Amino acid sequence: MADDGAFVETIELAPELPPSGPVQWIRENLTYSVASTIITVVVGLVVVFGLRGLIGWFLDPFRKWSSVTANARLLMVQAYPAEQFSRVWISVGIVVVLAGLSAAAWRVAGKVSVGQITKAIMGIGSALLLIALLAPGEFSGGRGLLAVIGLVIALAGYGLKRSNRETINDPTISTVGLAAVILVLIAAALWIVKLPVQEVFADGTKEVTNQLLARSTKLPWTILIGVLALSYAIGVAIRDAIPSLRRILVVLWTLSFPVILMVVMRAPDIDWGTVLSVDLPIFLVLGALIGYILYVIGAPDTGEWKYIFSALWLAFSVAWVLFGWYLFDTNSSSPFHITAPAADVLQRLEFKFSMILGAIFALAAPSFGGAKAARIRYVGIWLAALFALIASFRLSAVPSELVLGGSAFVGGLSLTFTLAIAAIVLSFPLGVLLALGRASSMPIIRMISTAYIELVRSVPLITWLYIGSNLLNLFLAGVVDIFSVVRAIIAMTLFSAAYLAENVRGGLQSIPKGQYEAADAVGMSVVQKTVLITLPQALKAVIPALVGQVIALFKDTSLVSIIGLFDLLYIARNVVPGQSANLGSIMELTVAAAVIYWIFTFTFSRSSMRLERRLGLGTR
Amino acid sequence: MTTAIQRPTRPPFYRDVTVLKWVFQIVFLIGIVVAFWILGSFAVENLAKQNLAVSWDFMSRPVGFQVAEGFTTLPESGFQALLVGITNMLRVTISGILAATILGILVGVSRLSHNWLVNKLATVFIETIRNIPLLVQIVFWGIVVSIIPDLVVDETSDGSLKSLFGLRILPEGWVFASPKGFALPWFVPTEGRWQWVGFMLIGALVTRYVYRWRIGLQEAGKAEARAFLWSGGVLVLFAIVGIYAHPIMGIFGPIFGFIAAFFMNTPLILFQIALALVVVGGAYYIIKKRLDELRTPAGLGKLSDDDWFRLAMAALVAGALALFFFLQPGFVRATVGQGTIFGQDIGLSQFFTGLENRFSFVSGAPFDFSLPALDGRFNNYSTEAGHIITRAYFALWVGVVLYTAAFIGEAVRAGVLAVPKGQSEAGFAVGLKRSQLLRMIVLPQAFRIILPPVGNQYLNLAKNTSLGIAVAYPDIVQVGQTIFNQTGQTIPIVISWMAWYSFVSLTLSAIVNRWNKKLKLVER
Repeated sequence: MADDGAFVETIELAPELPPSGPVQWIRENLTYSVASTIITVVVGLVVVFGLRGLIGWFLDPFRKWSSVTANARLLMVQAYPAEQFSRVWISVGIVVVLAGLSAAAWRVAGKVSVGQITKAIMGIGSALLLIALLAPGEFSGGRGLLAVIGLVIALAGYGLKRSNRETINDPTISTVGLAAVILVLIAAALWIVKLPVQEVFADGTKEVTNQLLARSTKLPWTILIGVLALSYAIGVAIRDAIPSLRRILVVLWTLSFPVILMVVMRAPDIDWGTVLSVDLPIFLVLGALIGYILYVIGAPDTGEWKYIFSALWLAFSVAWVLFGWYLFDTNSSSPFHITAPAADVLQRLEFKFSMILGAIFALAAPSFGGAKAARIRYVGIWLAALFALIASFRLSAVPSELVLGGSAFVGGLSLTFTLAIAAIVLSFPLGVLLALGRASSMPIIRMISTAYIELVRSVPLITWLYIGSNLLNLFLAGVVDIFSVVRAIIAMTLFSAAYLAENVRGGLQSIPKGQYEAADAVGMSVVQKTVLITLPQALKAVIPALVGQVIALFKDTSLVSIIGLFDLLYIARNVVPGQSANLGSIMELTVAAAVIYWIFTFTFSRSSMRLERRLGLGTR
Repeated sequence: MTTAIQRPTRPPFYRDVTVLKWVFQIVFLIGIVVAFWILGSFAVENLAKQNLAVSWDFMSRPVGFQVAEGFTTLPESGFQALLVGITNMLRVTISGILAATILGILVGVSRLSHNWLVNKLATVFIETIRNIPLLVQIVFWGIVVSIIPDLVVDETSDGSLKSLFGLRILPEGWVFASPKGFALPWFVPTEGRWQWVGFMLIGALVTRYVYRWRIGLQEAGKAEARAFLWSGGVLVLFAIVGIYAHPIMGIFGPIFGFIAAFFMNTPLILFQIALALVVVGGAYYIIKKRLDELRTPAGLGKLSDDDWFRLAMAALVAGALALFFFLQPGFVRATVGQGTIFGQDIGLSQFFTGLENRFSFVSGAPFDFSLPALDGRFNNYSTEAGHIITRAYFALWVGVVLYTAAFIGEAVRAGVLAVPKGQSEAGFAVGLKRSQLLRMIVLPQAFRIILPPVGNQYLNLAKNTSLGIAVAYPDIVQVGQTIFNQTGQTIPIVISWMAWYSFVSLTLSAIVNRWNKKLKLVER
């Protein structure tokens, strides 16, 4: 029996788990050497005292956190008229719907392992325990309760983790389910949580009481959370049926900002009679006429007359605008102004700028034309561009329905976002052009681009904002009166374009020479080569840098508070602490503003890191 | 059998890419010039409506305001006010760069630490600081100082701070804190400091020589270098000896005096000729270098459009500068010190006269230890004693240092991680200890990767000091803004800002580039 050896039973042993447990963890991560033990003790003491001070400061009864909670609306949208406030909710709703659909279309849902969740639960529990133990002052029943709750949560997490260790494969659960749980919790919190509100009675006494959120706040947010879930569900349902959903969403995201700003928030008082009698004819006539010309010019083998024709057309339209001087007839052509310029001037301008746009399309037509389908698509793009041009002319010209207390219909956080998005969107084409100019083989163009980029980059933004707010009106006073928000947007756009150009240039330099040579070999023109071959690759390569710049620009918008625009920081620092009820609360408000900025910037940077991983950038 | 070799004929001008490109560029240039001309004419017209004309008069006229801090608080002229702003800006920039570098390296190293607590603390620091706008942070630090309780001086207390974090460690009368800022003990420089600094400059040269000598010995295999120990020792020796021996530097006084007299008494035309020769020679050197690069054994290659343009620009700029020196002698005159610039005598001659006066065999310690003092009235620090850190300076300095340190920390971490793993493994394989590995293998290679982003952060720090205006720190932007609020001269002020910041950026990036180049040469 012993020597037959035919059947040896092998027992598959589970791999031995490495020794673990809290003691082992501490030994490996905190006290692995003498020096490290000393450092841990010293740093630990500093952290404990620092946290103690911080918690004590936050919980100090003298802190006026009511100044933040009571002015939340002011911080977000300044003084947007209360009777029109549904417009703000609609704006947020548009973003929420698009976010839900995009989350479904890009399939962001993934799996999260139970191990990570237990870690998070342990973290939350320990944080509660730490707060209860470290808070300075008398140890009260409430703190004891908090400590017990924290301990229970932490132990529960630890228990889950231990039991999870026994299973060999770390089980995972869907992030969608997790997100749903968190959203429900938030929605419930909206109806339960009480926040401090300061009441001023008739006899002048003030009292701070904890109150539930106002119905006008919690109801819309609850609905928005529902809308988010609903739009995600719809997205999941339709994403397989509509293959081009992602492309459609990109277009909708692009349109969302101008629509929210100029249509929803600004509440234009549109005179449909003018639209029908002026804008529609311009659109129909120019659209059809120039569309036909583009269709003809786009055909292959029509010689070089088409370039000469388009160039003459462009020169003529530019001259018409410049030397007709109608551009300068009016005193206000700002989209942020409530009054409208004279109607006939605007119509002429609208017509002339449409002509310029048409000439540019005609110049590029031979590059993007060709087969019939391509030409029809090109004409379609032309019509869309013409529509956008005419619509923006009309929308910026008509007065607003809003009756405003302040000067602008955006303020607070909404102004911060408006500035950041407008500057980044507007600086994008300029930045790309500058980058191409700097990489160009034409010396004068290169010299001008380089000079611009280097000058703008070497001088700080605050200087450019001063130039925008003081010099722009000096140069253009009596010609066009530019509203202060627009001046800030112009300054930030010109500033951001130079930085963007440097980023794009980096991308252009990273493209292998073979790409250019291949494009030349198949006979592409310079425009085709740039738009179809080099730029897309360059832009993809610099996406991380571009996102970094968006974040930087978002932070930089706080500088407009120095030139007196009512952005988030200005309202937190200068407006609210000036109210008699909130005197002496500047510290609380500044901290609140910092937290708001932090939340957005941190989210941006984390999502950009995920985006980088998704695109596989930096791993090649 | 005939082979028809057709020479390619030149296309007609309207199809010739070279011609079209030049036409396009010239039209573009004309367009930009015309646009600026139109805008400029609008500006002049609008200024005329306000009864203003662009003028630089304010630079030499007295200004009617006080600057909060600086080498003088009552500037005599607009130009001097801007100079105060410039020195204030440099004060923050230079000390900020030093502090941010040290803190940034500390943060970066902590971020790489195996110690969980240290690692997490550094991460929290970086993620907090990086994601909050710098302006908010500066405002925050300003508020922190402003809520410090006022000084209380009575029979029992001189008002100074005695305990820190509950520990009574500070001696009485050393540190004061109030909403106005802080006052600390300081080494206040005396008259002899310039001689001592001169002595230290010579010491630095000697140190450099000693360093190279030791390295040379090691490379020759004769001795172990210990170069840092040797050169550091020499420098410390110079510093200590210098405290007593600095008066011998006075022998340089007459030399400086001679140079000052030379600048003052040599006819102007000689300087003009010398300067013109320098720029023309420079252009000649650039052109010759470029042509040499293009020269092949077969002779000079065909010059491209681009080459022609560069060569022409070099010649044009040199010629224009040379002409400028002769047509506008005022510039050269002011530079050498024979004339004034905005009513100020600040030429080379005056500079050397100043040095002559400072190198005059003065004896005594170069620095006096001085405790801060109150200015008779409560709550005001004496400007004569100790060192005052004002609220604005503190807020701006802490803000930019923490902000820049967070970014430098990330650059340091990225740089260390970017060193290939094989390098560390090879180091361990030849038996290096962890500390040796870091010092000899990883850090030298990481440094090369770290330098460019850190250089960028230095530039950002210099530009970010302009945010001091939010806490009323009188740097060049704040002073300039005060001036244009008073005089309405926006355009000259904006030009001064641009000139100063461009100068700072170009200088800093030139330093970083030079250093970068030096490191690159080591590579292969």
